Amino acid sequence: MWRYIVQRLIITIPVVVLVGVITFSLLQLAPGNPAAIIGGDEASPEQIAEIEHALGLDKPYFQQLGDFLGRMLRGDFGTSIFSQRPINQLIQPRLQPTLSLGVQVVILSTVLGVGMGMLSAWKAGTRIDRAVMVFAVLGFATPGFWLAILSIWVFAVNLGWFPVIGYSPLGDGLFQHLRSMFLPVVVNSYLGSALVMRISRSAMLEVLREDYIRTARAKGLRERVVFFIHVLRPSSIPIVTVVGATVGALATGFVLTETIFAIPGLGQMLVQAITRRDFPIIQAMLMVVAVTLIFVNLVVDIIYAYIDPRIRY
Amino acid sequence: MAITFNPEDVAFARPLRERLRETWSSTIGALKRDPVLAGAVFVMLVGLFLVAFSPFLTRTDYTRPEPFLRLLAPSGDHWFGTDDTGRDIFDRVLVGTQISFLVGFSVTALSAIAGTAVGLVAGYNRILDNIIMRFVDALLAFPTILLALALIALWGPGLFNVIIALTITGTASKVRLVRSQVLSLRESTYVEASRVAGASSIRILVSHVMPNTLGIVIVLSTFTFASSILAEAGLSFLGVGVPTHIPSWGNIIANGQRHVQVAFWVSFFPGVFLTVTVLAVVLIGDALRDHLDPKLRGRLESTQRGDDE
Amino acid sequence: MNMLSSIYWRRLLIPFIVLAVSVAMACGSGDDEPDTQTPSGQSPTATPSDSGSPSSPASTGGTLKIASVGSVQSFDPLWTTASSTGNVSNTILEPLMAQKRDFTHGMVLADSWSISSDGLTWTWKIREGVKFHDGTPLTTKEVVGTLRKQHDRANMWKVLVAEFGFEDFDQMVGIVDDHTFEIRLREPTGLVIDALSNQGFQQQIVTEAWYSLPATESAPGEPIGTGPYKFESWTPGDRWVAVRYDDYSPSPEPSDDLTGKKTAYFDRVEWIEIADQTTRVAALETGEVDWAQEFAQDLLGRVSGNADLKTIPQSPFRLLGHFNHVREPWNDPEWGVKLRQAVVMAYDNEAALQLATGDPARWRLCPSLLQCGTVWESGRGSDGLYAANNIEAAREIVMSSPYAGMTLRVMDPQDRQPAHGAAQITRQVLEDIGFKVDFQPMDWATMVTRRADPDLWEFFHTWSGIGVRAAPSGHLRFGELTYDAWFNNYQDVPGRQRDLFNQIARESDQGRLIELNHQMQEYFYEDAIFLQVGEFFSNWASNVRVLGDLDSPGAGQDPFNKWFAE
Repeated sequence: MWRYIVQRLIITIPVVVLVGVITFSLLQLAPGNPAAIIGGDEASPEQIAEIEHALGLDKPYFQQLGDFLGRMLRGDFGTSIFSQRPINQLIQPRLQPTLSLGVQVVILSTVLGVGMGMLSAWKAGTRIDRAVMVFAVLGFATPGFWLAILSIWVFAVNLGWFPVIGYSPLGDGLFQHLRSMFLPVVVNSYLGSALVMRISRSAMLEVLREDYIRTARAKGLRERVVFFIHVLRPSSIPIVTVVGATVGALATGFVLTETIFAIPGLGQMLVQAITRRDFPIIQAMLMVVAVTLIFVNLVVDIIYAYIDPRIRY
Repeated sequence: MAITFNPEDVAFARPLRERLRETWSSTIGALKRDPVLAGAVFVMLVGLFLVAFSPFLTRTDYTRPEPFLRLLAPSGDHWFGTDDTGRDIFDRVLVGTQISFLVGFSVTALSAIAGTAVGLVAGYNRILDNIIMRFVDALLAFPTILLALALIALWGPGLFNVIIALTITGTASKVRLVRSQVLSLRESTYVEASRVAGASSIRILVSHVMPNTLGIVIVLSTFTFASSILAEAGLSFLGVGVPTHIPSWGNIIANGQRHVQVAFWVSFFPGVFLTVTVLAVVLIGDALRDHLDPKLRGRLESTQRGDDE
Repeated sequence: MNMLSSIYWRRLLIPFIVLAVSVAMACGSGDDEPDTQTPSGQSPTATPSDSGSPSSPASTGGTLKIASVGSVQSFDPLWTTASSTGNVSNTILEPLMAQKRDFTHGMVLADSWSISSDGLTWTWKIREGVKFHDGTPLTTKEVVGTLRKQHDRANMWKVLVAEFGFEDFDQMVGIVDDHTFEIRLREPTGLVIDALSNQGFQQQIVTEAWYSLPATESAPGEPIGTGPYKFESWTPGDRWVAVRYDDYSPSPEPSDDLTGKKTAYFDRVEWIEIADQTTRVAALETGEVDWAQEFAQDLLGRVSGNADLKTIPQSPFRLLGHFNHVREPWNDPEWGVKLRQAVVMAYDNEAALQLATGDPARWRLCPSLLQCGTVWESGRGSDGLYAANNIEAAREIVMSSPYAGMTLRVMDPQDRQPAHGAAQITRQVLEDIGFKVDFQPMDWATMVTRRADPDLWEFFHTWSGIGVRAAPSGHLRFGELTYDAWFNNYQDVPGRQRDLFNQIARESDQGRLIELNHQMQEYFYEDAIFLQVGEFFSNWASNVRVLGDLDSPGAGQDPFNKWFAE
């Protein structure tokens, strides 16, 4: 097992470095002069040249790349062009909303997805199965940002059940916090669960078809026992993979959701940075998200190997 | 969009023409049996019709601001109402089909071609394989919209840039799939046989391996189509897609977002079109996948029968 | 309007009056309200309501929540004119002098001044016992340190230095003692007061940590001032918070707009950034905020129909479009003027104003640089250009120029409806007359930073408040009438305009000033310096429980001298 983990880690390192190279090269190609933007409304050309020098923008490419990768290694994301603040400082207050949203959505979408998928597989071919699949396919096809807007219109504007503006931090109390996050969590969880539902269903159907299940059934074991003991564990392998992949899809969803629900998280920061051409922040966000996803996948692979030892060899 | 697809399930080797003919007749059969699938195909046909003819169906100049007609509710004059610039939403939604389909088809075609080519090379050359796959891994580490956003922040907004950005990520996922398909085909007996018979690597690749990757590329392409339509709408929604006066379902929804409390219709209608289109593509993709993977369909059917007993 | 003009007239007389009289109060107007200053202000014709001074029983306590428009990118008032920065300035930082309700100037940190008999030396005293939020006592060291930076950077100082003062700061400004300093001139002028007085916000006095920074750096960290509220925290992109400053030392003069006694009734003030206007109003409706800045007319019905809410009266703004004068095609020696005029004559001003506001009652056509309806209103030179809607003639000009079909980058700040609305009409008009348009959607804060780089754009829309439009000295102050990309270097203004500026700065006869203003107006249209769109009114609203000075032109938007109903 350890050998496998180390092996996977070694494969991961060049990917992370490549992610860094790709991310860095983006800024190199960027149009517009960050120095002029930093200079503000009334800066002179000499002042702008000074800023360029201070930022190291006049150094050769590979030296800048080396500096960049070195800074990333130390966890120093640099300074925002727009607000002139260290990006680490800007990220820090935005972690809580995004992490809270992420944790809630991953839990809810997994529970919802696996639960519905199981139900659907168990009742395969029935009306319940078909209803669940329609629900899942719709979740696949519906654009999240549109669903978010509709949910605001229905539940916040017309029914008044939830606040229209975003976010109450955990500091305002757990209930307030959960209430302010309810719509974004539900919308994202629904969309996130669609894939999990489909995969759970087909994974379980596949297992249900196996001979040993038929045998178990034939032996007269109760359906429920068969289902939970013999079906759940083997079919959890593809489900784990999909839940891992869902985290990636959620990163996309958050960008849009945080913008619509005015949640002051990392996604919102990224969107603002993009309209502001604030490349250091864009770079930081790309690094954070990509490296996070690489490690989620690593963890998924390891869990996968743990559940199914054959993988390791 | 993550697609779980098991390449081993689609491994078979028969002449392409035969398979195409078979595909066609079974498609017609499937449409007759499955009204939902027939509906999906109908939606796509309507979409194609709108792509070609929607500019002739409009009754207004759908890009020109009409400040004195802003945010009118749906009525006989404006079936879907007007947006905050006074433009007719019905016309804009119809014409918006063009952008969605253009992005969908371009990204699908470009990424299928590039993905197959690069995937074949990667699957056949061990040295290149390592380099390409690390690069693909790195690209796939970025969620599609994020990478597209970053590229567009770099190049500036615009349709062409959206297409290229989405193609890059679409290609990466196809490379991975095609490569794994190639790897498994390489070991198959008949490729082995051709090699023994003295066929060159290129010839084997083009005439034996490539046709056999087509099936999964087509299935994956339907999902690329669906996800690139969604991604384009998302990017336009964020204001980095087509310019706001050119209608795209995404930017019409964005226009409505600012007025959702007083004029929900602005966002509502383009969203319905978007959802229905994506739904149709996904359903067709599902059907294709079931069709190209008889093994899987057989399994599903047998399980269902088993349960019905 | 008589009152206003006579005030103006008197201010220009100062250099002469001071010879005989020690003036107790300088009068003036024409202070600039930089384009991005959050809208506020009141029509100069309105009489100040007695809600302006908290004579009615006021209660202390509570947290005021303001749904604010722009995103803060810096707290440094010398770095940018963005409204979000202005919000901080007037709350946390204070100037030496500021504007009163009647557009005269009153004391804030200044205690008094006197002028030498030749009118060339102004001796200023600042108030004693004032402490910054970090405990540093306010002395002339901080004041002069701040002025040193403004000398190079603030617009009015550039005028003062070029025409009346000295390039060398130490020759112009000197410390006498801890609470006295001098300003020395080559030629007498009343503009000294304009340079020290705050109507925009560049004139705020800051501590050494900020004024000692190079001019290119926006000050990092929290703003430290002498104001009634002190900075507490900032969550970028979400909110910033100020709390009452217990050691505040108010001016002994009666409260009047931004001057005199200021009282912090609220314990705490939160500016919550809500970019979307609908959400701002919704938050006001649900009581999540007490105050909402700037929203379009579509939403006004929801406020006026709600007994818990009230609208806050606003003065008219000028909507304008700015050419990038250092880039093609606008800088072409032969075609620049013609093409700028082509845009002006083709423009659909009514459509732009309608789209900017959403309601015909909230805008009016106005060809005048200074506010319509005042004695300074002038339409000279605008015939056939302003609101002419003459696409054909304009197209002919463009098509015969070498710039036909050129792509122009138009910045579109989507979160500020007036500029967003006008930009959409501009796109259409520019395309109609033969240009191509690269229409660039962004948020307001981004536009504010991007316009600083002249390589990034060809055209954008903004608006300006009453300050720069109330009197001819407004022409001197603001960067609209320039041939730069954005923001004036006064020295760069060419012959005829500079000549008019100089005459205006020295003229004291109202009749001649009116004529000079007509000439300025004529010259403005001849050269098509910017695109005058028209005048509009902005909508603001608050909860009815917010009482106090809500409608004064400068301080109406600031959280002091306001309180919650019991």
